Amino acid sequence: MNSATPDLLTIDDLTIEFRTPGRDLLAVKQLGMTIRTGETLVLLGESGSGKSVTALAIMGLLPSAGSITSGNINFDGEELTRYSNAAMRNIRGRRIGMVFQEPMTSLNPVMTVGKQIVEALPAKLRRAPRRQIREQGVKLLAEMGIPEPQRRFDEFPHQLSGGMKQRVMIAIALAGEPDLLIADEPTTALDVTTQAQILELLRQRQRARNMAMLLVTHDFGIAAQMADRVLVMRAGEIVETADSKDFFQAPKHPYSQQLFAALPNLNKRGKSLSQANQADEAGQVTPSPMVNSSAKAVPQLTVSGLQVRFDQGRDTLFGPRQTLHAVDGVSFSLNPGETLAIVGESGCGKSTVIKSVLQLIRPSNGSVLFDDTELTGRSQRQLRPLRRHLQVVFQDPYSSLNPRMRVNDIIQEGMIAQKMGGTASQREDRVKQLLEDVGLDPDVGDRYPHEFSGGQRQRIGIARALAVEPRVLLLDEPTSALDLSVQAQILDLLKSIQRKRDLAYIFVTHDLSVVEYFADWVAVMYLGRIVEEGPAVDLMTRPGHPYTQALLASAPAVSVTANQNRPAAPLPGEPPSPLNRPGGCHFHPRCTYAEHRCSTEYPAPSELTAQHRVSCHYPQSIPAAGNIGTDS
Amino acid sequence: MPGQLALLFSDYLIWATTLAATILLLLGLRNPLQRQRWQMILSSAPAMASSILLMVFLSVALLDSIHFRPLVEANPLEPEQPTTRSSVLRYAGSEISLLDQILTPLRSAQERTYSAPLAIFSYSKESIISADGIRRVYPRLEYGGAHLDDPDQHHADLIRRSLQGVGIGLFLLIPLGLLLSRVTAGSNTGDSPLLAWRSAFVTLAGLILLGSIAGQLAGHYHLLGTDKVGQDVLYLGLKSIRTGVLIGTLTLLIMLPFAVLLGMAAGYFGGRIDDVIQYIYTTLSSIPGVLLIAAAVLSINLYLDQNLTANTSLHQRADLRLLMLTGILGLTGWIGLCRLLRAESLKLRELDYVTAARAFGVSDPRILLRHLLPNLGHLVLITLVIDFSGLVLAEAVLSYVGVGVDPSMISWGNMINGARLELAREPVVWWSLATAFIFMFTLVLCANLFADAVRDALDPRLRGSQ
Repeated sequence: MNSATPDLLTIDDLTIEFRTPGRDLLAVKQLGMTIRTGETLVLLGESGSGKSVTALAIMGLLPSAGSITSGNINFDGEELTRYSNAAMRNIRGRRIGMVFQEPMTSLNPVMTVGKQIVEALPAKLRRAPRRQIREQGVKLLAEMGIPEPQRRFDEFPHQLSGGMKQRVMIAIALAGEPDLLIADEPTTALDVTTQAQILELLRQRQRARNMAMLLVTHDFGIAAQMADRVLVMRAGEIVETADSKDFFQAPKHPYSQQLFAALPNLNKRGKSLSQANQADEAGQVTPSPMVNSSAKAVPQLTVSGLQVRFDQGRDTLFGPRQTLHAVDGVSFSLNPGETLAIVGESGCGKSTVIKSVLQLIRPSNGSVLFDDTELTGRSQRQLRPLRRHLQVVFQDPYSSLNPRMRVNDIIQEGMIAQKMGGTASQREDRVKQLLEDVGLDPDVGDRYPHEFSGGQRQRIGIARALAVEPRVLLLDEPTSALDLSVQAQILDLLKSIQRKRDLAYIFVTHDLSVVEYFADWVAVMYLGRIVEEGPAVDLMTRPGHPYTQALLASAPAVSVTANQNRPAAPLPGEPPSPLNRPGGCHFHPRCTYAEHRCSTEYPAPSELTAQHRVSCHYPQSIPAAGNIGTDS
Repeated sequence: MPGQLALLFSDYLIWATTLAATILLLLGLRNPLQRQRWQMILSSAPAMASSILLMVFLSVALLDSIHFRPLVEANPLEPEQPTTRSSVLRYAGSEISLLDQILTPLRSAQERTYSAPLAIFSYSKESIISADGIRRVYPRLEYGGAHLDDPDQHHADLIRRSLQGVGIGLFLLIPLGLLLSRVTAGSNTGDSPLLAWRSAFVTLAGLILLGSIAGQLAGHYHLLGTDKVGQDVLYLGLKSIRTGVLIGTLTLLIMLPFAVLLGMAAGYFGGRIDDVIQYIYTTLSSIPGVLLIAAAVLSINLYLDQNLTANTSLHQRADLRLLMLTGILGLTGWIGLCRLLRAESLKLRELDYVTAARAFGVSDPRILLRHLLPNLGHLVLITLVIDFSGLVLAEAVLSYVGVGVDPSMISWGNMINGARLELAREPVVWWSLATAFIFMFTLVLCANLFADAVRDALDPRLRGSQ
């Protein structure tokens, strides 16, 4: 940035301590940084690195257990650490605005959106006549790109979608016309296409107001797209400060380099992600079987025409019953030793696919064939012996393990239910073996889940699934709740298990970089249907469906140059509710290529290449802009 | 045991419950997470104090729950029969409890009618025939202060005995203090929360001081006065503890299976089962509770009158009535907990570990037992402790209305019921009411404080706010 612009915020030697029963925690250690007017500073770090605490400290919003033990926060000549709560109130909202991660809980559900925005307007504006205040609020909403701002002004938060709520939150943060905007993981709770819209909005507002922005994130892509400068935090300390361009070209600190190595992408397919074993393993790893060779293999799992419907109530007294089509005619097949990734935004039905394949939700229609055995329509008793072949690993490592059970019992549960594993002592030996297989100390069986970290819990979850020797493992966002470096370890673990046991994976995720790295096949879902499927490399480099293209373009690349020459927010709007799907091609209202035919008939799948099928009337075979292979 | 053991049915129940609860607690403590939570509970001062008091209440109730028929002392008037002596031991017809045995001085010191606390004269005038003719005087009490020759020594004696009590109490405090400091010195290591030892010491010290003062006075005076028929009110208050604790715990015991089974089933299975269970409890909860209880108690009384054989003792009869009352309270009391557990089960059912278990083909009963029940434990515990105090109070209200425990049973409700008419007298007979109130208040307050601490430690929703 231009060094002539003055420093707006200067933090010196900031140390924040948390008092917890037992011991005191140092959350932030002697942190120093500056933000200049008009600049975007990104605070990058994994969970627990102290980045959010720093943001809260600037706002004077530290939780009561935390306190600033030393250091200065100088904001435009004012020393904030010495300010009382009352004095801070004149700073908060007026001079520093803040946007939080969770738009669902940041808005008051019993106040209209308009009232909440008006509350945040500067005092001089609030004394204006009512009409003028309203105009001001509506103007803000319009600035945030909210359609029909007049109507939205009087609506309640629950009437808005997640992305809209976040826009409202930004409107509230900007209502006081602050000089500095702090955004704490503003898009983490949002889908990738909505994220792209919100990021674009933030950038555009910042430029228009020449505001400084402190963006707290764990996402390298977001950092690359937004930052002028980057601060990398680890365990309460800043390990690297660099201009964005330099940082994403050549990170200097070993920790940053380690994180970069842990980023999955297309170029790293077949290589290990965790740096520790990259060197010695790289030689032996054979590239995962390329798709063409497996075409003749006998499929392990064949799903055809799978439908899951949920009956809802009637809309009107005598109206027809409404039906929610969560999954609507999904078909795929999976070969042993291969990974099928199911990609889509939240609400597209990808998790329902998993549950209905497992027969935990009974599909309304369609068939699930495992090794020529039909799973649908069987009673619980008939299903029981088959259940061991299909196992599942969940997203949230905290809710997936029963906190009241020991690791031993957790892993043995499946063996006992399936009456396998022999005697109790044989089972214990098996548990030890499994724990070793997933990279844990074999002697931790006596411990309870809360004694483990998120990554370790995920390993236990994997061991539990492997205990019954399944043939197919269904992975429901197994790494979404984990930090980057832990994600790398888990992905490596999954890869090596797959190789050793010739397991077939169904990998449900919204993270495209993981898909690029991990999957052999990809199926993209939109509103309950697969819109495009094909071999991973082919599909990710030459997407045919406009939705896939938009998804790929929305995911920020971990490269400054790649982000510069691409559309800002590739996909407008938000996915409609599965209760009320648009007719014809469900995607046509958001599609730039849509023509009349798209609104009347659903397109049949057409083949782009041998196994690459697209459900689109006008399949576009343009390479996706930007995302692939740009960061090497 | 100075007699033949003759446990009442409720005795078995309360001992079994206590034993089961202790075993469950010890088993639970094997999980470090659970242990940490109990440490958290006991690290708060009010929780420590109230749990000690609750323990004292419970031990009084347990002591009062070992009934036996005392050996009847050989009547000197009857001719002795040495040949059959060993085989024909004679026992009294009615049971007394171990507590009665311990409190024999209080129990047997029965005056003719009311007397104020620590009084040496009766509350009402009596006609005394003496050499001078008939006089209306306040007569000296038969037991209260009987050792005093001169009524003027009354106050001096009270003070002397109190001071003696304080002295003994302080003397007893020394080993207690040493013991506690020993224990705390060992437990101070590690990063577990520090238990509230200071609060424990203060509570125990207070109890010991009060106890030793009371011990010094109660042998010679009626510490809390006497009631209409001259029974010692302190004795009545102590005896009522069993009734209160019994009503509290046994009712909980009866409602627990209903609440837990139905609540879990409704939440986990959903659908029709949920509909039926919800229908049952909404119907039950829309009937006025007191009416339902009154109707049930009256019909049970009728049944007991008609069906009891002659050889059931008065005690057994009262005991049966008490059990019936707990049964009725239990049948109407499970709804709140059931609702709570249903809601929680609805939430737990969707958790990944339950899904994982279903994907393994684990059977539903096993999922309920292994995955749901242990994770509902904290809710059950919190609700039980809160409900306990409500039930103790309910007993008082019901007995006051006349549909509570048997009138012959000593309970706080009956004490209050007996005292209410005397409030109009001049001077007021306040001590029965006050005693019942203080005992009940202490028990309920302790239960509530303990419940608060349990909730703070176990309720995940509150944890973030601390």
